[in-house]
Amino acid sequence: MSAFKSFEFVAGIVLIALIALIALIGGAVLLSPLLFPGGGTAQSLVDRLTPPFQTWEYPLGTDPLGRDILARVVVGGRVSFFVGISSAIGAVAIGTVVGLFAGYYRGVWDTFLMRFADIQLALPFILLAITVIAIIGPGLDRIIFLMIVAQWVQYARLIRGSVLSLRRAEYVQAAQCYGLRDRAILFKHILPNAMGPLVIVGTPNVATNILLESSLTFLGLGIDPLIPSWGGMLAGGRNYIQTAPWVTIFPGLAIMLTVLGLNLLGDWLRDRLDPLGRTT
Amino acid sequence: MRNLSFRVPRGGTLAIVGESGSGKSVTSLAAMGLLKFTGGRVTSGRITLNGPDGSTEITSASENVLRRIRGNRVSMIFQEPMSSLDPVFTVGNQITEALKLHRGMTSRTAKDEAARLLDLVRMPNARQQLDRYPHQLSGGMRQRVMIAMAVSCRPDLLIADEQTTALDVTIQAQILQIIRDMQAEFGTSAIFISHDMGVVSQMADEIVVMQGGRMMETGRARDVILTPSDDYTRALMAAVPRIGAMTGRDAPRPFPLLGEEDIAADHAVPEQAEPLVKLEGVTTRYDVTSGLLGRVTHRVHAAEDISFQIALGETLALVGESGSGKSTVGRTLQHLVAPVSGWILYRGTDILSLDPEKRARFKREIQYVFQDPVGSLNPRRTVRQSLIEPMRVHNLLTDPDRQVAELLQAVNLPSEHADRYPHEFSDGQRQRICIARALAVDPGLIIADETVSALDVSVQAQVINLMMRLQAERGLAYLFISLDMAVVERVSHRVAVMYLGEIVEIGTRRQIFENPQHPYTKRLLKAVPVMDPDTRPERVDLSGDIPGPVRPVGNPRRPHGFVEIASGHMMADDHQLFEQEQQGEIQA
Repeated sequence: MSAFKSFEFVAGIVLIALIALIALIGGAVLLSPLLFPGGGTAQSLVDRLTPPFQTWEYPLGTDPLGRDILARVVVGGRVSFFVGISSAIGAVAIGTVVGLFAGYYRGVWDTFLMRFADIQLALPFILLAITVIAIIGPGLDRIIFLMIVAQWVQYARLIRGSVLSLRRAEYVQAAQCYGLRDRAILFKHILPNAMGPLVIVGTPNVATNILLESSLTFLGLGIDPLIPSWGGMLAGGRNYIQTAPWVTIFPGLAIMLTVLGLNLLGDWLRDRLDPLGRTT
Repeated sequence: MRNLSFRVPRGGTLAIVGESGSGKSVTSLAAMGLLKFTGGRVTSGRITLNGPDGSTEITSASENVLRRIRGNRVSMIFQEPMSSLDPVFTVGNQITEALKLHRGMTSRTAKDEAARLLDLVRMPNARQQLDRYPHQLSGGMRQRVMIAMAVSCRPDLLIADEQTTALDVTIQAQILQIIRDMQAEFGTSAIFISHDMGVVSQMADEIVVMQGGRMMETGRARDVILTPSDDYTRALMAAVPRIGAMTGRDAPRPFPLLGEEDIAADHAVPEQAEPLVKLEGVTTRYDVTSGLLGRVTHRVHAAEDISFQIALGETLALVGESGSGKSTVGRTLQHLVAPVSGWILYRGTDILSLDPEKRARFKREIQYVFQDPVGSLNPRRTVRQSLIEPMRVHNLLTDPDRQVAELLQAVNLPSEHADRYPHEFSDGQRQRICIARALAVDPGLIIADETVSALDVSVQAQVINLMMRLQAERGLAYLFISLDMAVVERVSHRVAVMYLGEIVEIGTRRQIFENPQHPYTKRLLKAVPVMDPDTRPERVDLSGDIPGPVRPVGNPRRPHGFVEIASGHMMADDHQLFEQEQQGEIQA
């Protein structure tokens, strides 16, 4: 009926397809060691820079070291996905808790935390990264930690801003009137209404963190460069972009689709969380 | 909106009245040719503007023609004075812009003209005001700027869309006076869009009554107000609170709404030995800090030395204009803010000195119902969730389904609606839900902070009747905070008038309304627009604005005592000071 004509319905179908695609990639991330025993690291210099769609052996071609791009995209998804999502979730979680309490209770802690946040925002990320990695050393877990440290601030500020206006909302005051505990007010009444912007800012952050991981790796501050990751592939293919564009195109496409899917997922989630349904 | 037709004579005033969603504002946008910016269009019919140089068809005019008309021959005053002035430009910039555009003035002459216009709207120190920004002006002053802008190009037609709704009554009276002066001076026609029948009856020659996009009735203002012929108009007029309607009655009584005439009986307060709540010398101040170290330099004297008591089943109304501290008193009573000094006794117990655990139990006894029907319910929780939560907090939950159903029935809502979200209800229904939520914990006192002022008149009357019925059934006491004197006259047993954080007069409703003593009370009552087309209002004093309650540290207002005028009727003994202050402002 008319449902098929509605924009939301069509967008919903496309969205579900994309989510399925991401799920497929996610599944492949788990299965990849079985499908690609070489793990995307096996080199074959004879086959270096094979263009895509030429042989069954290398469906998406090979890179300058003769490594299978398909295998590297799928295996690399493991690292990129993990880094991108876990760092974003970590930063959101810490930033949310800090922002909620700072915004609700105000006072000395609020001033202290927000001035601290200002100072941190004034530090260039690379400087912070070099300092932190120099102290704790490189590694996958370390760069996730680094990203959380660098990014919780923006979420804390975002949430604090919403809380500052929501704590004056009459339904929050009404809850105070009937004696609801502060913690319940924060998590039942304030947080759900402050989530919207968080989802909007948080989902593209996954993408920037996937790219950030590659920059860090490129600078030697990230993970072992031999472990395939999408960001690392982009960085590695940079010099061949004129002669062998496929080396960068496929990991780039993987990042783009993932981000698009996540953004649509974020929008859908925000609308689902909003009882007003369609917000204009 | 369909099939609406009316004409506004030159120099005459037409009022479009109706409740929200009736299509009043759409009409005004159509007349300005602004509909397309809001996604609407005129599908049929014509809007014609007749001027000395021929007539213009607004519906078919090009955007270029319309741009020349807007602000020049037709101008509009909007409701919200803060958002209709651009905060990044000075007042002078904004007035001169239209003058330069439509009247081809140079910067210098435009500035002179702007100063003259501000003078015309009785802006004190007009020339200095040109360099100020909108946020530095009070709401009433901003409205004066809006009017100065609107009349700057001598428009043929002035459209005022609820332009005094957001203002205090004394300021509203000033603004209405200014508009009348402008009309007399320039021969401007005006369309007044309003839901306030008092304002309409004072300003309009003709009235159009609208409902759901249709015109229900039109005619001369006197006829529509006094002898409405349409059923809807009649119902509307019955719901309008009229000041003076309760003269001679001791107890409040509900509105005689159609179909509810039988409940229109007096609500007397039962005799009792001890008051339910008693406030003694309660003072609440907010600190204003400045500088890096956050030093306290000023204090907002929001409530000073407040003493009153409320008996079980009684309604005490707290009236006053914005900044008078009415809400602060309510919030202090509810522990939303802590007072600096004073006692609050509830059934004889001093609740401020209780330990936190016992005080939490007292939170049950006093409940708050807020003004904003949209903001006071969490949009992400169903009605059931909102109603259950307070009961769960106080361990009153025994049979959730039955309790929720009973609460909804008590406020005349179908219990099937429990699983809906707030946005699925109308404003009046949401306000009923808020009342149900307050009732959930079975309180003794409900603080109704402007609870009905955001509602349409007919809904307002229903909610007031509901509140009065609940009072009779459950023996509730109300602290009714409002600036609508007509509503206050209808609902209250006793009235306290607040000015700058202090109670200046307190007494029974009859004492305050029929024999006001304090100059501020008199001024407040005089400013209320009366819905009586036969009496045009007296000229209002155009000078004076309400001063703010912010004072430097170490410079408190001189405390005042009370003189007793009659039994239970008290007035501040420094009323001469008030008059001097008002005089002083005129000189300044």
